[in-house]
Amino acid sequence: MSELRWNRQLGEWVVTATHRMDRTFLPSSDYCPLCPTAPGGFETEIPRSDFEIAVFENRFPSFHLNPPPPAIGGTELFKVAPAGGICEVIVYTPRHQGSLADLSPDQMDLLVSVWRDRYISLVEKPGIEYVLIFENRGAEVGVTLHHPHGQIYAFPYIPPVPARELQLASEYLDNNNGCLFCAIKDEEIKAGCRIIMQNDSFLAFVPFAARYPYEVHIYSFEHRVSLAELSGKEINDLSHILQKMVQCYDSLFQKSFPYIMVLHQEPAKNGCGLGHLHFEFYPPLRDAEKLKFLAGCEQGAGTFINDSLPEEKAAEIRKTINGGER
Amino acid sequence: MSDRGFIKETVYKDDGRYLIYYSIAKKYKIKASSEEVKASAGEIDKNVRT
Repeated sequence: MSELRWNRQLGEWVVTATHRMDRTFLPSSDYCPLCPTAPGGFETEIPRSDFEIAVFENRFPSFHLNPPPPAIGGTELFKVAPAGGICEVIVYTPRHQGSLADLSPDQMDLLVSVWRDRYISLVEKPGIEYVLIFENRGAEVGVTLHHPHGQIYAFPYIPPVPARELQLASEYLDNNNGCLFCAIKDEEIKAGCRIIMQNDSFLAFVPFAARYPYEVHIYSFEHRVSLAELSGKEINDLSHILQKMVQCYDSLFQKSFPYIMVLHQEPAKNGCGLGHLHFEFYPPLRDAEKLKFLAGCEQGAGTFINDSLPEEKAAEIRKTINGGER
Repeated sequence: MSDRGFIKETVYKDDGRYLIYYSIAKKYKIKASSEEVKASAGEIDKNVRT
């Protein structure tokens, strides 16, 4: 069962998806549903014995192509709606071990091209308002399958975080006649001290007001509203900087570094060019062993307390660059 | 084959869900393993700011 319930107090939708309670939880590598199906073995989500990248509809989706009617009747104050949408899983590699950091350059380019293709395909579907590409990495952020993979949620509405960004971008455009994200990127370049790395097309930095100690954003230099606008060279540059960033993270504490990685870009409709392609990494660690929890002030007040200075964390991450390559 | 150099094949599972296989087109694999592309990646490395 899955449905949308309107949280009138906060003005946002909540998805109830009770069937997700039964989803596969940390299976042994012999029973990984994202591995290729071995001859004579149990049938995984991918029936072939080999593949490069596979994308499939999530077996336990929060949003459904043909959503069931809500289980409860709504009222004017307590609105309910069907949870229409699409949830996909992207399996990065047939290999059970490893991560985005270990993919070959070819495979990394293919992954970015697949993200681009899925974005273009999904934004055109009826009823889809926003496409969120993301990856949860590590048990610390609740990963239930360790096989390298990411996810895509095609929402029937623009979710609150990108909606707020776009609203602020709209106000900035009205007042300054320019792109808010381009202005942020230019200000970070001017400051310089929070920049991690850059190539011809992308810039990686710890944001001025980072909410997490090791938060990093990656912006396109040119004003690209979505993956659909990227050239072949920009796809190559994006795949390179993303992989390098994950390698740097892994070098920080000489272990697989947990993170949530999301891609913000243009909504499906009515975007008016306000979006600006950028990745955001939210790592839960504040040092090698300690986690940053979202506690009273973050959850109850919406104000993040960062126990570190973004300039110092940027310098710490920068030190890993030369030794960051595996 | 798309203009981005990959092959895309869609199949359907018994329960109706789609499954899409993406693979690199052969001619792009050859190109990607060439010295030309290795040199290009090296060029990007040089631009990494330290």
